[in-house]
Amino acid sequence: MPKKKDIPFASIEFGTHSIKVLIGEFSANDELTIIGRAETESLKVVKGEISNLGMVSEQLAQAIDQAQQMAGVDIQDAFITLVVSGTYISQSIVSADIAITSADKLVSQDDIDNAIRNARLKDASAKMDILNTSNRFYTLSDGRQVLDPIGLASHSLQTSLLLIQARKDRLRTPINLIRQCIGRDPNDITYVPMALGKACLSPEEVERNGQILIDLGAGVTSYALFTSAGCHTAGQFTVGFEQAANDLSIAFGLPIQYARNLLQSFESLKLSAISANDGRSRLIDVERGPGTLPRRIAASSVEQVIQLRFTELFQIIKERLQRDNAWQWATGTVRLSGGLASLPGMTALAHDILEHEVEIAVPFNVRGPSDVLSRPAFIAPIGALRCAKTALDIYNNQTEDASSKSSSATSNILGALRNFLNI
Amino acid sequence: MKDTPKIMFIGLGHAGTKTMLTAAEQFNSPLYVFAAVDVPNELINLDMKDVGQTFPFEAGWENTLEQSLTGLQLLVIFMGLGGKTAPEAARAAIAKAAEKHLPVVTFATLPFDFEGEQRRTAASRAVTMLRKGSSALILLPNQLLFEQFPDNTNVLAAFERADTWIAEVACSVLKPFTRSNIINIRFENLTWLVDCKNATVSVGIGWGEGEDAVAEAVQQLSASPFLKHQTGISQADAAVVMVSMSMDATIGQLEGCLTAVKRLFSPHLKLEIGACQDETLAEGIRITALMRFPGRTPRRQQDASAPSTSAADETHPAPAADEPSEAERQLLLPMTDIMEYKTGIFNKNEPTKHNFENLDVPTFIRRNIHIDTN
Repeated sequence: MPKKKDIPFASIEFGTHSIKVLIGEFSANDELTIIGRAETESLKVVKGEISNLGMVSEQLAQAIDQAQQMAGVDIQDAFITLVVSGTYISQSIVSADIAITSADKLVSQDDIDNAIRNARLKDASAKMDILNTSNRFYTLSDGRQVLDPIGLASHSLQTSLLLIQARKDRLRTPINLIRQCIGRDPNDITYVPMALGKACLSPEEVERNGQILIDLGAGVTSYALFTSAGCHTAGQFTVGFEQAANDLSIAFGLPIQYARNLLQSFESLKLSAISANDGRSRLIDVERGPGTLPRRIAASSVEQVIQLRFTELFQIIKERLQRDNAWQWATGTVRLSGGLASLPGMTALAHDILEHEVEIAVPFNVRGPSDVLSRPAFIAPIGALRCAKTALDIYNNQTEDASSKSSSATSNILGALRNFLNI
Repeated sequence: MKDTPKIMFIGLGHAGTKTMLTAAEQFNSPLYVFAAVDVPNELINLDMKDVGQTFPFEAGWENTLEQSLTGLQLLVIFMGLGGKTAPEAARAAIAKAAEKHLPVVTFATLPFDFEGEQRRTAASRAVTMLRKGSSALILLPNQLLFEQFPDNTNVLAAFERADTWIAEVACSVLKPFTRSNIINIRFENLTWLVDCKNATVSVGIGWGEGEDAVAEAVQQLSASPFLKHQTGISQADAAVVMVSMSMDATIGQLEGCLTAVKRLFSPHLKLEIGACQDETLAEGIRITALMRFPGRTPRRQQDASAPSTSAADETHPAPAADEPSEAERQLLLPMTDIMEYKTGIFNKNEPTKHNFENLDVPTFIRRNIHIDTN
């Protein structure tokens, strides 16, 4: 295991739109500097999963090469984290009760650790690997749900834990790809929703509770709700840019690439994710392919197709947060990341549906190339770098978190890391 | 049906007659009888010598028809809507069938858009009448077929192709009811399907051959032109599916086919499946699906400021403001939650499911939202 000091960190994400590799370093004050970046087009990743190993392997090799050259480091020397999302990853909530045995009946850190340990044992499955875990809240013997029970009096303590698991067989595919490229497995695995909070929530914002993060990717939409205890709820579903482009393709009879181009041209065409519903007062010419005349269609119709799709998407997220009893905790701002976050009108649409303040996610305490920092599509791999650092810090037992309340939240990362290394 | 019924296929008007003749090639057995009803000028040109009877559409023709209905167990009507002859003939034929307690299945085509508003309105009125009189009414909008034709298809050819398609649909629907089946399906299943006030029934057909016969048939089923329209999948509440297999079909193919068919539909859908072997199928599989969508009950109150202008309006009250007209409603054939249907680039991928919906199908289709794509 590499030492913490001076070690570069790398994140690798096999996105549906592009394969991204970031290399970064952390300073003493925890500031992250991106020193290498690469992005290659994903040709064979569908709904977040790799569909052609050979082609993706070439693209990955190309991306790693570019990132290494820019960073001036060998990725072999880096602590590498693989960023994952996809239908083979599931979320579950487990809980466990313990009795408070101390004479004063005040909850201690040891109590919390024991409760978490018991909870994690409950959902062990031979076919699944635990990727991440996070505290949701604690319940005291009088029924109160609290985020920080240390020092509170109670006869018992129940912990509610969010467990992120992945099917071992399907997880091996991206791991093997990395091994083929660089000769070894990644050191860590980060689930996209967990990375989002690490990327753009400052410690003060985390303490403020109830922050929702939504990553609107090309193949997968991920969401998470963070409180001061940790990640309260996380989830994903395989709907994103590609479905929206497909909708346009079907509605207007466009070849899919031209539908994608249309969606990417929203800003230049002055279109919005919220339809102006102005009938045929605005007409746009849409390319349909070489040798064919452009098709003239009502801008309002294009907007309507997109608005329907993303209205539904945000409604699903809200529905799921309500189903998981998480919506009541959502008191803060909603942040959007991913390639679609900057689609004109997207934040306004999210605001209408979610009825919360919405803004585009911005990475916290990060320096680096402006095209990385300014693009919401890089939020997840940036957050993964921070997750990797946390994992390594815990492993080396040198982080301040290890001695604070959140060590209970992150100690399970250590367990996940150990688990991962045993694959 | 265990006891194969004696069925009369009757074509009304020009379009119906052409469809009937095509069907006659498929149902080649003494158990089936064929007839044509049309104006005398049209019947002169019709060669029905080895096929069946003709009934010139003139005074008293239905009394002649009545005699021919004796002893039958099912009357199947083919007709095109929009004109005058076919609906009037249908009204009379249905009345005679009712006197003999004979069930009636009607296949009726709706006019192409280019035939004009008058014919569409006439079609709409005829549909109301047919709904009341038929045990099962299956509407087939020509316009949806039209969208499948190349732009340079001439008008006559378009009509001919529509006729052929209708005949194939009718044969696919009816054959399993007329023979001993591997999995029996009764005519009552069909009447049950359409026994719902204001229900609309959509039809889809798929064929497949070779190793991937099942997958191919499912793929074609989902691309059927009559399923090519709008609406949320949760609207469909029932389906009757007929699987026809060639004589050399294997048990494995049958099992695979039934599994694939069940997977097509939401678990909450009421589904009846029948399977039969069809000697006219050289090889492969044909899947025919009839899906029911219970529609809205049209308002019956007329606007007091807009009095009826004709007697016909008594049976066809003016729709309220913002309600689609009867013609529009009939033309809006909804679609079901068929995996691979309208999924475009996600055709071959594991679907993204949420609350029994396939999220890969565009939202505007699942929500039955009309998009101005002109």
